[in-house]
Amino acid sequence: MSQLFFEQLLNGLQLGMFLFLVSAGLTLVFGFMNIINLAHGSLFMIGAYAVAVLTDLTGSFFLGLLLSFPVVAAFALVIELLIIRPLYHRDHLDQVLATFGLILFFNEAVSIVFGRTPLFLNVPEALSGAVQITETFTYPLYRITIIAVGLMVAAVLWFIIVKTRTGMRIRAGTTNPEMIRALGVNIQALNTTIFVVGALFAGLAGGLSAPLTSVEVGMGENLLILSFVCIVIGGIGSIRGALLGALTVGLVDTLGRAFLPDILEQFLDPATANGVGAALSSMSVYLLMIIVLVFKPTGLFPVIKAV
Amino acid sequence: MLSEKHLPAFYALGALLLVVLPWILTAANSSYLISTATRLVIFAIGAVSLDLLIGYTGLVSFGHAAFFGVGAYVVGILAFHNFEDTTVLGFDGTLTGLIVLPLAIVISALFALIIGALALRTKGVYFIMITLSFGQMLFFLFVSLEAYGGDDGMMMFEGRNVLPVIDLNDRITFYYFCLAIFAAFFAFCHRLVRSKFGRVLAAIRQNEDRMTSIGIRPYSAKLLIYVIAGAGAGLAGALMANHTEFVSPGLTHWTKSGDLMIVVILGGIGTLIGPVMGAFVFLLLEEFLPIIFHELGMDLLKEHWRVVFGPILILIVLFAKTGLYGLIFRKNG
Amino acid sequence: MLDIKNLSKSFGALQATENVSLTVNEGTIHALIGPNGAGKTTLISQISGYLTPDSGSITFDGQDLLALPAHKRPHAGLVRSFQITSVIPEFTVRDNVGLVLQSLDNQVFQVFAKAGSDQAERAKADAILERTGLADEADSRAENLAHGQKRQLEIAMALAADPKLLLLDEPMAGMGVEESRNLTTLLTSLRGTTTMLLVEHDMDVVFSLADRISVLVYGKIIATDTPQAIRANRDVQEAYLGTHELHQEDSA
Repeated sequence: MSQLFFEQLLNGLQLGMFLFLVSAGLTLVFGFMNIINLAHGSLFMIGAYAVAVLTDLTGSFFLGLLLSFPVVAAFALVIELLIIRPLYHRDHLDQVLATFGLILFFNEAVSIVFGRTPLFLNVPEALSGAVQITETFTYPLYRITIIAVGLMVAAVLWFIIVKTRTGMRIRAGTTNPEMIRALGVNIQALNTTIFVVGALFAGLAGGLSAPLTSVEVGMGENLLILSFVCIVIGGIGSIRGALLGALTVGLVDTLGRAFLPDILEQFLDPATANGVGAALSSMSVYLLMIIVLVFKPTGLFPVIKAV
Repeated sequence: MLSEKHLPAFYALGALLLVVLPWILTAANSSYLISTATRLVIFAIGAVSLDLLIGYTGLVSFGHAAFFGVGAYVVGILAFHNFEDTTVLGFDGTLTGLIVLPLAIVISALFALIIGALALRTKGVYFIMITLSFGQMLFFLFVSLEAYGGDDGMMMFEGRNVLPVIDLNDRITFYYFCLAIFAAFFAFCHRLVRSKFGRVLAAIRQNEDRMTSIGIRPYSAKLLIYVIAGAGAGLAGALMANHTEFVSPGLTHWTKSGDLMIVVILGGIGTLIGPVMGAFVFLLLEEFLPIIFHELGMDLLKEHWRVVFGPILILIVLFAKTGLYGLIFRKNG
Repeated sequence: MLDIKNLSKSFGALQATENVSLTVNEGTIHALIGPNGAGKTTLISQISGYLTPDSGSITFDGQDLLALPAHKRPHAGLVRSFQITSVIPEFTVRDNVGLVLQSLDNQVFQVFAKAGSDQAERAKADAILERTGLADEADSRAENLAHGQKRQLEIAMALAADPKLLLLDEPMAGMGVEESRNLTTLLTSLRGTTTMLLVEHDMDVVFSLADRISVLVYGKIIATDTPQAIRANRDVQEAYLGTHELHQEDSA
């Protein structure tokens, strides 16, 4: 039992890292640029397809992953220049609809090019083993790598935002957009950079997930909505909030699915417990979000906007 | 371009067209399109209800399909238990329309009350994300209902709901039934947005912060309109379940909420009639774009017409914010 | 009428209201003056319920005001106007006033009553517009009004609520000489029937209208007295009136 728990804990952590990679870009783009970008999930999908195709071409997952970055960056750049930029000063309704239009486009475009059949990718040879954690308990190396990558990204982001001049500008721009304009910072370039970097994180998450799930149309959408839950819980605009939200959501979702039916069986008959457990565990993260919002309507780490 | 003075005439013309539509379609040997026309009318109810939120109150609700799904599932679940001769929460299943349809409205209103009470604590982009999340939550709830087919949903094996005198299983009768409900709902909304309560909603949309100081609690007003809109969407969902005789979680998928928003903006927000036109054009595109692409020899686009529709949507958002309504009518004042 | 006791409010390190006690007597016009940033608007916002004080009490008309939600305070007769004009831009002037009348008549949730065809409301609104000098603009959209007229509409909306106590936050700000004089006349005519707490920078207006004056500096009330006594008060001169000209320029 405790071993199963430990395994699910790591699974939850791994889901949390994927969510963090997607949420980080989402929350930065919203916090700094005041843009809500639904097509962020499409960038996740583009990353996954890019890695699948490039791995096939080069024969190496790592090379494929590396080469996928410029591909994702190029897509992000075009999206930013063509669609996002005119939306800076539009209301959120316009942003939602335009980026929803992007999703429709990318989903159909991908299914035209690759068809509706999912692509599959093997876990790279070098990372295919398992790690002996205790005498009786092993855990896949690849999944551990994902957790490590997620933590590394979090650390790098923390460093950039807290310790560098650019990070200072990002923080200033998030809390006080007027000030950053007054300082004469080239806001356009900074916007584009943040958008592309955020897209790269999403693309990286997509690429890393390619060997674990089927690469298919619309694969990023579920994760996108879960990421919304993460940043709403954490407080929109806050990287710290995104990380905390992502880990919480990852753990609650994974552990809920694994253990809720068993726990309920203590109180209910097996059939009911299974039904209720399945329903409850699929809704658990949303219930969590509701609880957070009832007590803190702007999330756990709200970014206080200067008026 | 027409002015808003011409609206009554436009309404009358539209109503006439919808009334004679089955004859035209039958005469044109295209009576299979009556099913599409029925979908149009049902879809329009949902779109008009969403316009109450987006257009009139400024609430960008991204989970409206959830209520559509609730209404549909009420119909589906009661039909299922009627077929199986079992009970749900102690009640017998039924196909009796006079019970099922009001119940669908009440239960969707109840869902809207609970979801609205929580979601309306937030504003702006939080509200968008939270309504989206609630929609997704209900989607997964329906998926987890294994007894009702889970992912695959369920068929209504005994056909549509039963009403005295009116036979809903007749295609044309069902069309007129939906049309009548649409007309009643449209008239209700038309009256509502011009009522004193409607004026409060407009004031909230324009200057919410001012409301408290004149003794109005925006939260209560927003909650009421959210419940009304949710009930409207639930009604549309109940009709859609009857129309297709099939209910599945797909009805509440978040892209369906997106479709509803598209219809509203395509037609022109805050106009009621706009979203109806939006629904018309949306279904027209869905029905005919594939055929057009086929005729043009572009079979690749036939299946993937959304690859064209996505950019069209973006262009509309960027350059034609007033929608179809704005193309046809010049706003007064 | 209004009794504030030991009210305090801080934003982080900033003490915006510090142990403020203040009584406004029924039927009087009580002015609140002080340099910019003294916490005048913050105080008004706490009385009207837009902000919640950290400690202290406010009694209005015998009832505990802090127990009353902000949106219920106008119904109890406590109404504020805003320093920064806040009207409903797309509404006509008459509808702006009509909305207030509707709220105070508890008709917010009337789903069927048509907004445009309530003759009683229309007559009441027009009477208020007449009093506030906006009769000619009744059918104009609020966003198309000149700045001074928007200020007048702001006052008209406050008066439409038929207040027992009117909180006026710099009602003259941005008004022309003529409009300002008209408003002063209007407020004078309300003396005795409507109690007022007036925040104002224009000292001519303050000294011609006020029965009593309180001086707020850095969140603290340093004096409350008759206009003559305030004029003579040395502390006030040092803390505020002496630098008054300078602050006038700041606020322009």
